[in-house]
Amino acid sequence: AFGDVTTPQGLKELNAFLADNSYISGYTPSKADLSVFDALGKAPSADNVNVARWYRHIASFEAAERAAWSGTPLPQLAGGKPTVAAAAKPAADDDDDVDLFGSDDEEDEEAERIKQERVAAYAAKKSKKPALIAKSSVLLDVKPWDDETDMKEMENNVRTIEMDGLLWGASKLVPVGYGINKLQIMCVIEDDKVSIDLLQEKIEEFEDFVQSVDIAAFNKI
Amino acid sequence: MGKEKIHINIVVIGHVDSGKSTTTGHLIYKCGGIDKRTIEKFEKEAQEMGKGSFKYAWVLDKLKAERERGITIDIALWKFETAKYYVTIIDAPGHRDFIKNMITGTSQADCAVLIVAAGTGEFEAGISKNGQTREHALLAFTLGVKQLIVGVNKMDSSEPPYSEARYEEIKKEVSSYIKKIGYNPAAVAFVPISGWHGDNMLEPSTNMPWFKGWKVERKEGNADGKTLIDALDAILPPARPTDKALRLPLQDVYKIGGIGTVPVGRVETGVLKPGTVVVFAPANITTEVKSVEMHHEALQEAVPGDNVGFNVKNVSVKELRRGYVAGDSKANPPKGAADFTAQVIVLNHPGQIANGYTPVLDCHTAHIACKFAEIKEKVDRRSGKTTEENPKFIKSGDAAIVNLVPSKPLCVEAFQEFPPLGRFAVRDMRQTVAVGVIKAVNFKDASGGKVTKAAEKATKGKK
Repeated sequence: AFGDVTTPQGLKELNAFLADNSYISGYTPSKADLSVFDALGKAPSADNVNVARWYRHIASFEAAERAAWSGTPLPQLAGGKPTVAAAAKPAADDDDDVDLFGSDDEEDEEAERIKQERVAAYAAKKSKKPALIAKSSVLLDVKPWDDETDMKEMENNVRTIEMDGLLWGASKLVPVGYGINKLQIMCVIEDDKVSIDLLQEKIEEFEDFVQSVDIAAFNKI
Repeated sequence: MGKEKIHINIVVIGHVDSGKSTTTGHLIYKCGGIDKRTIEKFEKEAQEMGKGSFKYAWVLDKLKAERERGITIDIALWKFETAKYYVTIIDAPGHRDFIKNMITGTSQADCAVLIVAAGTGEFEAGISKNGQTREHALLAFTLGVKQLIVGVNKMDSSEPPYSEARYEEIKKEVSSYIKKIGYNPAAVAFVPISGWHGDNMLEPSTNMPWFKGWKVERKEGNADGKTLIDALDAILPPARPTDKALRLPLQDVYKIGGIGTVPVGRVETGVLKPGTVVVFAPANITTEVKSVEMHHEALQEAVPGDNVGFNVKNVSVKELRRGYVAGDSKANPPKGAADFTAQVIVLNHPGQIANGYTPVLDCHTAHIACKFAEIKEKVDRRSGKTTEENPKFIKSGDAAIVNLVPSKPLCVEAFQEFPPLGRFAVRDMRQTVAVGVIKAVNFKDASGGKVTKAAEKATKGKK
């Protein structure tokens, strides 16, 4: 059992609870999961590993799938708005707390219902298609220290970096001025797997060659 | 050769299923963004495979496959031409790190193009509250992209196809949606299109006779037209900030044998010329610029957008570093900031942010930890009105006015004066947890810096 998950104590208890349980109630996702999910409002800090795992799992369901879950919501927020209402129409009201773009006006319920039906129908249609892996094309500028840096060796070093979801592409040297060239190198990355920040750090670790790394272009594929 | 066209940058935002890549691809394909031989090769293949009637789809698929292999650098930068402009187009990826790139990246967009799909349910799913589209649109507006075009895409797959009622329904929804972000719908062109079939892309479509064209009202002059390309041509060109004071954030500093110290960076505002006596903030080092080069060619003048190297005398590489800002010592020179006030929007911080929080800020090329010294007030993002004084903490979704104190010398500016030096990303745990725009800077007194002999001589010589 666990208390109000918006408190650190409640979150800790939830973490302990989820160490032995896949879901809040029973062996399938239900409205109970949704109510706790909505009460949390955002992914928990990484040290609550079990909650984090469960949160990601619940977050992976589409609104339409969530709407189809059965079960009874668990009242969670002490003093807040009743979570039961949130669970009843999840996609329409998925926690005001992290909603950057909340609307001030109450939406017309009928319009909202029609919207939900359309989304659900579309989600059902879409679920039959294979999911595409989101990828980006990134063009990096890798800058040396001076005009004597061995650019070939620099490139060889950069290309030794391997990451799951990272594919190195073409490259060329681009003149900067005063005899200095920068290495411009393409890579294709899977959005969910590769952190550009981490990649830049890894390249900058070749500190004998690399002064800095900048992004010249960043596009969806 | 006529007069050279103005260069503009566009960012395309929208849900992954909105067809924005197809639309982007269509523009590039039809407007000379892909070299002729490549297109001819793919079109020939399409013929041979018996896909002649799907030629366009075939070429786009081929190009996508080529992009996935990453073997052609030229197609990493997507460019095309309209009647009026050279356009660089960014197809915004869903990648989390893209947000930081929007802030510190090389090309600030002059206009955002929002693509929504007209298909039943598709539109509704695309602009749902947890969608990235809202985040991108909000960021674009916050970061100063004040022009917007909306493409209502996939009109061919509305029910019934090319339905006026559906278009009007979506236009109404999107208008209220972008109004909440801050855009004025009356100044936004709405165009019903099919990026796939080409309706209203370059030529008015015969499938939508009910569409009488788009219209925008704005104080710089109204405009109207029929197609998406017309709408792009109606974008107000960026004011080239050459008349502003010089600001050039350093990316790198090189030591070149026989030449000396060469800082490199992009001119954001103003003009840099050989002979300019520059000051490097926040270190307050003053010296003369001997020469300026771009792509190994000497320049007599570098203007905003130019990525240049310049040679300075009597300053060693050790005295300069990335994040410093060069400016003209005689015309509103840059200075270090003691502290600054910014409007911060928390995007996805896992916890609460309270006074004392000290994350790393990425602002132009600087990367420096800054303390949230005082969270002064929570504000309504749209109206800017105070909703809570001295909040104990702020969290995801909140906007707040915050006083920040850099942990090390840092040069920033008010967004109003120098936009590229006045917006920042707040980084924590390799994530962009917040973004900010600087309202005011409390500058440090610029005293006690080094003035090189070259600078003294240059200054005297001009007296």
